[in-house]
Amino acid sequence: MSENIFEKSLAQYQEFQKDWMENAVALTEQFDPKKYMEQMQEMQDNILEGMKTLLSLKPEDVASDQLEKEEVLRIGKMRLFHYVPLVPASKKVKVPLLITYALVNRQYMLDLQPDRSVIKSFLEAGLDVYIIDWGYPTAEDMYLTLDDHINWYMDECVDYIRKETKKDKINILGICQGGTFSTIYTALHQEKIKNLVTLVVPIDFSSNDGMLFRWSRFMNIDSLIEAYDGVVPGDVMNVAYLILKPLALTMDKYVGMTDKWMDKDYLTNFIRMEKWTFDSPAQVGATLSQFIKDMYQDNKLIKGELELGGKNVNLKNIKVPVLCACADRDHLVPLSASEPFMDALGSKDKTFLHFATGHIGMFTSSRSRKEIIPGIIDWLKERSK
Amino acid sequence: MSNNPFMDYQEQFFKLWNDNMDQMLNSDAYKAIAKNIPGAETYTKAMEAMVPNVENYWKTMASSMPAVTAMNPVMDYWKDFADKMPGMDYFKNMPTAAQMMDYWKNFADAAKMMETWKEFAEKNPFMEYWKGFTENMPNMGEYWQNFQKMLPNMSEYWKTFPSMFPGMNNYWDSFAKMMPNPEKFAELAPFKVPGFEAFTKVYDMWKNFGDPNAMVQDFQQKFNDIMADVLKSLFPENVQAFLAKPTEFMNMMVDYYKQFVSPWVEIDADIMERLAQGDPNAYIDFFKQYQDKYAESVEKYFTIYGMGLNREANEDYMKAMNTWNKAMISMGELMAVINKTGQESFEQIAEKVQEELKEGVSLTTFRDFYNVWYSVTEAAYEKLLATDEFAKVFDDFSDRYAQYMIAQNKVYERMLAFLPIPTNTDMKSLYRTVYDLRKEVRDLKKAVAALEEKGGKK
Repeated sequence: MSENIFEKSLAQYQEFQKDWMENAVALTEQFDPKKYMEQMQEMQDNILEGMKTLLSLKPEDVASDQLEKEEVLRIGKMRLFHYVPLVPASKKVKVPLLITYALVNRQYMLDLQPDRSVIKSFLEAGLDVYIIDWGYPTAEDMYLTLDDHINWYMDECVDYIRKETKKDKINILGICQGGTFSTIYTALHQEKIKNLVTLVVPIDFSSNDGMLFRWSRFMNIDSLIEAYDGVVPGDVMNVAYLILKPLALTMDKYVGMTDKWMDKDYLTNFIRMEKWTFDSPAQVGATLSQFIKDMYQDNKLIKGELELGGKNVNLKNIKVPVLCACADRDHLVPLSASEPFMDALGSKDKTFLHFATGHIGMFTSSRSRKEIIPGIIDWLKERSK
Repeated sequence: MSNNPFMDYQEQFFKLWNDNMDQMLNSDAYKAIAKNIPGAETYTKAMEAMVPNVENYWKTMASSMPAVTAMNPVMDYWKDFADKMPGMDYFKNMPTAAQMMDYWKNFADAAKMMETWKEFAEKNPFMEYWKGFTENMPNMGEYWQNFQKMLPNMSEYWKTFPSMFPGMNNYWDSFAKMMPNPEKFAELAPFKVPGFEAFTKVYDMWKNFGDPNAMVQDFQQKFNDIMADVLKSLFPENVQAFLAKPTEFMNMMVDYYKQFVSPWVEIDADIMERLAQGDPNAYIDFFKQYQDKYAESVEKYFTIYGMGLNREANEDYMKAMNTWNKAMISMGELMAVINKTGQESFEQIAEKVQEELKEGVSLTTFRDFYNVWYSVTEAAYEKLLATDEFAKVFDDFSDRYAQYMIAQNKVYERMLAFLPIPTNTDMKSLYRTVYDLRKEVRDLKKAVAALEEKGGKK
C-alpha cells in the first residue's frame, strides 16, 4: 500500500472522527440520567409483566380457526370445508359462497380471532360459506400444476357445492393469489359462477411498486425448485416476506410488543398473528414455476396470453358482476397490480374499491370490520337474490 | 485587558488553574478519595506548593516581555526550528489558550464527576442490598442448609413444579431435564424474543455515544453486526451459518483472494486502492470483477474434464466445489451492497441526530435514539430493496446458491446410491407415476359418471 493511500485513508478517518465527535458531544450533553433510569425501569417492568402474561396463557387463549365447520370433500391434500350456518335457513343468502385463499399462508386468517372473524361476519349476515384449505403439500405433490389447482381441485369444489346446494351458479371470493386463481377459473368456467369478488389480488404483474414483483423478474425459479427437490419449503417464502421490511418485521415488531404485551388481549392476538404469519405451507414446484414465469415474469394473464389446460384464459370472457377491493398501503400486492383488472374485464357490472389499510389490515383491522367486510356482504347480497 | 496578550493569557490560565485546583482539592470527594490513597496527602501538599511557584515563574517571564511583539523573534525561532525538524510536532501543535481553557474546564467536570461517584458510593443501592442481606443472613452456611432441607430432592421439586402451570407439563419437564445445563435451556427458550439480539446491540451502540472515541471505533463494526443479526434471521437455517459474520466473510474472501487467487487473477489497481480507502462501492466492484476473473481463471480448473472409471463422480465433486465458490463470491457482492447501505444510513443517522439537536428535539433516552436509528435504517433498506440493482444481486445469489445445493445433492445422492434405500431420484420417479395415475383415475371417474348419467343410473 503506498504512503499516498495511507495518508488519504488517515485524512478521511480524521474527518469522519471529527464530525462524529461533534455529534457525540452534542448528544451526550442532552443525556438525562434520571429519564434514562426511568425508561430502563419501565422497560424492565414491562418485560416482567409481559412474561407473567405469557406464562399465564392457555392453548385455548390463542386458538384460531374455531368456527364450527365440516369437511365435505378431499382431493389429495386439499380439503373443502362447509361452515355451520349461524342464521336460520330462512335468512340464508340463496347463492352459496366459495372462498379461495392463496397457496402461501393459510386460509384461517379469515377466522384468526373470535372478535375479528371475517367468516363469522359472513355467517351472521346469512352467507352460506365454503372454504378451500389447500393443505400442506409434500414431495409427492411436486408435479401438481396451476392447471391441476384450478381446473381439477377448484372445479371439483365448485361442482360439489353446485350439486349439494342444487344451484347452477355459485359466488366465488378469491384472496391474494387465490383471487388470481378465482379470476382464471371464472374466465374458463363462467357458466358456474354468479358473482366474482377479488380481494388484494394481483392481475397486472408489470407493476414496479411491489418488491416481490421486482425480485421475481430476475429470479431463476427453476433452479430454486430443483435445489429443494421439487417442493420449496415454507420458510423460504417466509424469508421473502420478511425481507420486504427487514427491520420492522424482525426487530421493531418485537420491540414494540414489549410495551404492550402485559395486556392479555393484545398478547393473545399478537401470538395468533405470529403463528399465522409463519405458518406457510411448502410450495409445489410445478405450480410455483408456472406462476412465477407466466405471471411475474411474462405477465401473461392481463395480456391474454395465458394457456391453461390447453385453453386460452381471456379476461374479456368474464361477464359476471365483479367486485375488486384493494388496500392502499399493500406492500405485497400494490394497487397498480389490481386496478388494470377493471379495464381488462368483459363485465358491465364491475366495482373497484380501495381502502386506507394494508394487505392483512383488509381482514383484521377495525376498518375491515366496520367498512370493508360489511361492504362486501352488501354487494354480494344485492346480487345473490 | 492589558496591552500584553501574553500576560492576559497567563492571568486567565492561572485564575482557572487556581479556581479549579481549589475547587478540586477542597471538595469532599477529593478529600474522601485522598484519604484512602496512600501518599495522596503528600502529593496534594506538593501540588499546592508547586502552584504559586509555577505561577510566579510565568508571571516573571511574562512581565519581562512588555509587549507580545517582543516574543515574536523567539516564536519565529522555534517555528523555524520546528519546520526543520519534522518530528517535533509538539511545537507545531502547542495548545492555544482557548484549548487550554477547555482542558481545564474538562478537568473541572472531572472534579464534579468525582462528587457524583462519592455520592453514588455513599448511597450505593447494591451495598445497601448486600448489607441488608448479610445482616439477615449472618450465616450463609445455615442459609444453604435450610434451603437444602426445604428441597431435599431437587428432582422431586421439579416434578411438582409442572403442576403449578397446567398445560405446560412438557415444557417444564424439558426444563427440569435441562437443569444441569442451563445454557442449553436458555438457547432453546421458547419465549426468546426475536430481534432482541440486534436491539441489544443498538443499545450498546447508543451507550458509546457518551464516549466519542470508543463510539467512533466500535460504531461501524456494531452496525454491521446488527445488520448481520437481522439478515441472519431472514434466511433459512441452513443458510444462516454462512451469514453469521458477513463482514468477516468479506475480509476472508479478500485474504483468500490475496493468498490463493492473486497469482491467477488481477483486479484493477483502482479498485484495490479504493478498497484500501474503505470505499464501500469498491467492495461491490471488487466482487463483480472477481466473478468475471474467477470465470476466466480458477473456474477452468474446476470444470476440467475427468478421465477413467470415476470420471463422472470426480466431475460432480468438482462441480459442487465450483458452485460453492461462485455462490460465495455472489454472496460477497450481496453483502457488499447491504453493507454499503449500512454505512450510508450510518451517516444519515449522524445528520438526522445533528438536525434534531439543532431543531431542539430532545434526544435524551435510548428509545429516542432507537427511534432515529430505526426510522433512518429501515427507510434506507426499503429504498435499497426496491431497486433493480438489489433485485439482480439478490437473485444472482439465490440462483448460485441453488446451483450449489443442486450439485451438492447430486454428490450426496451418489454416495447414498450404494445403500439399500431409495434416493430422491427413485422417489421422484414414483411420485410422477402416482401423479399420472391419480389423473388417470380422475378422468376415468368422470367418464364413468358421464356414462352412468347417460344410461340413467344416476
